[in-house]
Amino acid sequence: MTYPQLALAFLAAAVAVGLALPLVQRRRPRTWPRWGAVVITVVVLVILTAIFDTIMIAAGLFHYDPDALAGLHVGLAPVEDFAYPVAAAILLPALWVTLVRPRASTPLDGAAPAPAARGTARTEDAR
Amino acid sequence: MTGLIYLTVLLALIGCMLLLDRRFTLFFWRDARAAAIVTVVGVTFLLAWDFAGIALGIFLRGAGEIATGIELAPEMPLEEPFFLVFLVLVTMVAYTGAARILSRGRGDLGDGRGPDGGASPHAPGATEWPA
Repeated sequence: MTYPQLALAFLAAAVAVGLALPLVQRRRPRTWPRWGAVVITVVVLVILTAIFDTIMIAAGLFHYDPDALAGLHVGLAPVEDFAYPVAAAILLPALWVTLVRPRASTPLDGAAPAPAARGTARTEDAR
Repeated sequence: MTGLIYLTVLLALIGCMLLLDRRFTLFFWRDARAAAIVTVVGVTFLLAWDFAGIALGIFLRGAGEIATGIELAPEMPLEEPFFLVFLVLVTMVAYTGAARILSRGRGDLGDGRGPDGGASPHAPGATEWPA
């Protein structure tokens, strides 16, 4: 197996689990990651990876079997390395919104938030 | 001493992420139990990826002078789990921080203490609560 195949396998697993997690939640309504925030996270992490992966490779911390790589690089970073931050940015927020406690002031009993509940929340948050 | 540079930098970066987390109540300071599970699952997943790459002969440890040279397993440097903890923390600080900023911009919770990555039940955003 080459690095592109390995990266795609783990990336696919992260995407599949990330999309499945909200579907197995017991809480109603289901909580999905905020996709806009996921996109921002991917952009930030990809930029950081291009910079710091290059520095880490230049520092001689690790290297790759050249025969296993697709051959595309960003700086010194092989393009396959970018699958790590992309997988993390998809899998981890999905796990987080599945596990995180709702804020104490807001009961989780309702379905879609009613206007009255919003009013209450606003008052409580307007400290 | 140069052998400790990489590990020291990683620990400092982890500390920086935790300071941001504490200052803005994003991740461990928002829900320590959920954050601990996300961190353990994330690091385990990424370590499994590393070990798969090592087993396939794709990843090779370098002889970089800034690393300790200590191996936890063949080709697995002592520093790698710390790097992966940092990667999880930077991912979650970026995500929860971006979610906070987006919900502020929408004006549903003006004080910025509200939705925190999607699990705030009173957030009226359609992105969080598809019917």
